[in-house]
Amino acid sequence: MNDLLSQPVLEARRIARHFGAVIALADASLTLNKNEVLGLVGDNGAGKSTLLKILSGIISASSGEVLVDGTPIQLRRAQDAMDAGIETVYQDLALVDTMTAYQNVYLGREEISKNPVARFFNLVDDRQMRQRAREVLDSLQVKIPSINVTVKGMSGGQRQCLAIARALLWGRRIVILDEPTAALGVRETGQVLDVIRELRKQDVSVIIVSHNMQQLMSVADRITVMRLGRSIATRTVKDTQVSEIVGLITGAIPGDHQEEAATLATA
Amino acid sequence: MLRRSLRVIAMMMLTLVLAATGFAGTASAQDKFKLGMAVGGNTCCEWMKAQGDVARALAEKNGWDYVELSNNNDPATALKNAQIFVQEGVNAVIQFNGQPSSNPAIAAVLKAANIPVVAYDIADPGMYFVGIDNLAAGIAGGKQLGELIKAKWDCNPDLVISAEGASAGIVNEWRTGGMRTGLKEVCPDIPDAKWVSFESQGDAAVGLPAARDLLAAHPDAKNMAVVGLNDGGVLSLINAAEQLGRADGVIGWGQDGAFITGDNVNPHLAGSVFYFLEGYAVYAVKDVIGPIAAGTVPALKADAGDPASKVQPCPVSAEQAKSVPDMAARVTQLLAAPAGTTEYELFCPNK
Amino acid sequence: MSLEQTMPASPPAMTLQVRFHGWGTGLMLIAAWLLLIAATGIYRADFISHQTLLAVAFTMSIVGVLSIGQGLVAISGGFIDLSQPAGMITASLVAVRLSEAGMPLFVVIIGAILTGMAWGAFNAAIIVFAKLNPVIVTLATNFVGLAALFLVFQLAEVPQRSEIYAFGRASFLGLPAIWWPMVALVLIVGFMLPRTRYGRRATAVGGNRMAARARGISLKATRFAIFTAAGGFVGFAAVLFAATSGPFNPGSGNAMQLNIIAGVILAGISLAGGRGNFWMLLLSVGFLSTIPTSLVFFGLSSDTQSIFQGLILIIAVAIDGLRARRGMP
Repeated sequence: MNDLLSQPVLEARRIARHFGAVIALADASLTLNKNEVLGLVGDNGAGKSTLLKILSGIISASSGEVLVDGTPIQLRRAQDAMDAGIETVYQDLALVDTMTAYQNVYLGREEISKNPVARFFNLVDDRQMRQRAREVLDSLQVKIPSINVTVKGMSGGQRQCLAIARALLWGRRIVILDEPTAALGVRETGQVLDVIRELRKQDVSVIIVSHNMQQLMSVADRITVMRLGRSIATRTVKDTQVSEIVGLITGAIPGDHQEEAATLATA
Repeated sequence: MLRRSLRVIAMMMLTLVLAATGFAGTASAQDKFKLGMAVGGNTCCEWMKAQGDVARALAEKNGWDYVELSNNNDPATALKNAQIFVQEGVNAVIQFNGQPSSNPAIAAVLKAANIPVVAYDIADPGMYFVGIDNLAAGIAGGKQLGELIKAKWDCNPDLVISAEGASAGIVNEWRTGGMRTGLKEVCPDIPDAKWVSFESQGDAAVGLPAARDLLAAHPDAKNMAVVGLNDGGVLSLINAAEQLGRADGVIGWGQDGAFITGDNVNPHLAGSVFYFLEGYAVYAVKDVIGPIAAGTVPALKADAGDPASKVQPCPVSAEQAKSVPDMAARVTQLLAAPAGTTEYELFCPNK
Repeated sequence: MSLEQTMPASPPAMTLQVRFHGWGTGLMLIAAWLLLIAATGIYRADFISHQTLLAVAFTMSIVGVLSIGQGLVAISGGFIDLSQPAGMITASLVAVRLSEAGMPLFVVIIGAILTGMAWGAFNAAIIVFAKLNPVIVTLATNFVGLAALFLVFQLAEVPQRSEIYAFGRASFLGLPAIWWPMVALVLIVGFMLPRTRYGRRATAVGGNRMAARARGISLKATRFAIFTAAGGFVGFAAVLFAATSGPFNPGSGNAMQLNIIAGVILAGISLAGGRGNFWMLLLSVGFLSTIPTSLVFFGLSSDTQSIFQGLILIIAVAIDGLRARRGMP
């Protein structure tokens, strides 16, 4: 399936998660290769959000393991995921309205000034941050009014692009997008999808959750389907059709055998 | 530091004593006389707490039961306390109520239960009045200040400033008005335009900004005589004058003697009037509570002009005040003195 | 090739507009302040005097330092700290005891600041560990604190023969000695807050706590740090208070609360958190401190002053609400 011989950047193996007696996630696996956009689909309640939350360290798995570059990692807090190079972009929680675009992009990772005196006083290097932010936004072809303006007045698309661009600027290699275009119009959706394609060009791998099949088919390389808390199939976009994916989601088409699915996922 | 910890220990001990007397009260029969005391409970003033301490000590000396409650400087609490006293079955009540709006209701509640009540300093028709004649105290202080003004400035100050505390109501008017009257008796020709006032709220720290503003609004005044409802109010003006570089021409005379003793007396506070507020219980016990406990209820005298027991005001200059011990020491000496001895008799250097 | 290139170029005027609003608060405050000074000066020419300047500057000093602490709490999303009076009186008491013991001024200052910080940390501990609303917690700790203080002391006063007493009455370049550290602190905090990593993160927590947390910023640590730092300013304000107040009692600090909150809001430091320029505190606190002096020159009583203060607080809150809706920075 995979043209590259290098190992996957991110791998989730047989992840399960129980909330008391409730099984939110029974057995989910996925593989994300380098320079790949992986679509993650499934009906409501199929376990997508739970899996994403586990991958971004917000909740921990009951069993199973997560590997980054082939090395198992512990995800206990959001910071663990970030340290492992995983960036998760949420729909609404991403930006601080009262801060400017570049301040938002650098939030939590502000560059401290090189000047030793300024450094002593914990002063940040705004010039450097503005310049870098501008470069990164330009390279991703993100268009915003100005990086020095608060993000409050910006459109949903601009805000989403900023949040995604941040991942690149922070040197993340894995970006998880949860419904990045759900609230956006046609034009803005196009803008976000372009940024995702740009990300891939710049060696960032992306997991994208979306209900919009056409959109996924246009941007993703592979699609993993989840149903009833299990990952049941993975398809390469150029070898499949929307109808097959929808069939897998609804159960009209049976999933691959569980063992097979696991094999597929790690192929 | 030592004094503070002692006070904390004293508090704890008093609590234990209170608990113990409570038990004793339930254990022993009804025949023991029981005194209820409602202290003012305003955080402003040391003497409010001390009033309770002295009353408690005198009750113990006389072998009475004693119940103390705090009015928390709140009229509703004061009324509730009266109801608690009724439930407790006290035989007489002493109260200081700095927020006297509930006094008529309190008098009615206690009267219905046939419990006589002594009011300190703030008169109510249904209560035995024990306290200072505030107007007389004001006039006495004003006269002393007048003599100073006459000697120093030939009765020609640039300004006579009154530090008011409107929330004290009539007491404020008696004291500050009395001081102005006393001052006028000595210096009758100070023109009306020179009499000004500001709201000090009776608190040196709180009144400070208003005092500075008043001084700024009278930039040409050099020689200033200051009167006030208490020492704190007068001190707020003195401190303001120090800060604006104009204290040299300030002579203040306070009321209540709170800041005229000790080793930290401001040199511009020329004098004050002692009421020895902490020792009021001596008067109340001598003239009202004692007779009641002995079985003879005295006639109700509720008017400040014709009080059940009159506290003598003691105007003192700062120099004279040096011979007066501070409050804690005064309380100790008062309690060691023979029964009925007043602080005025013990400590007033200017009888 | 892509859709966004067909989007109309964003209007460059937006930057200008936003910049203008940033200074709008300052211009408005200066205008209001000048108007007040001019009106009073026309009514009574001797208002424009060194004595007025001193009176206003003294009043400004303590309120100004406390408003820095209040502003820090507000901008980081803690809304308001209602426990400042109890914190300040506690630290003032420490300052008095240290100066009574003959300690040099710098020891008195350090002692008071540490006391204030401890008070702030105590508040933060309850807020963070019990997961309670800061307003309710500080309301309660102020109540408890004042009651506890009353058990410990009824009156305290720095000795007249102490460095701190002299400091409270000294002047420098024609202005009160206690005024200068207030100005310096406002300038420093106003410079540091938007330009340091700590400051920016604290501001972000106030702006959108979930977004800040998603960026790996610890909300608990931020709240702890902010309340402790704010307590430090309360502690320093206590030094200025003890130096100037004369004898004070546990309740003497309560009267300032309203002015401090009004000063913070008027300065444009949002109670909703996330934005504000601390330099504006010099203007807002200066303006608010001039009002009572001005009213005295107009011959108005203290009752009127309370009405004015209440009205200004209402106006300030209304402006704050308007700013929040418009999304001004």
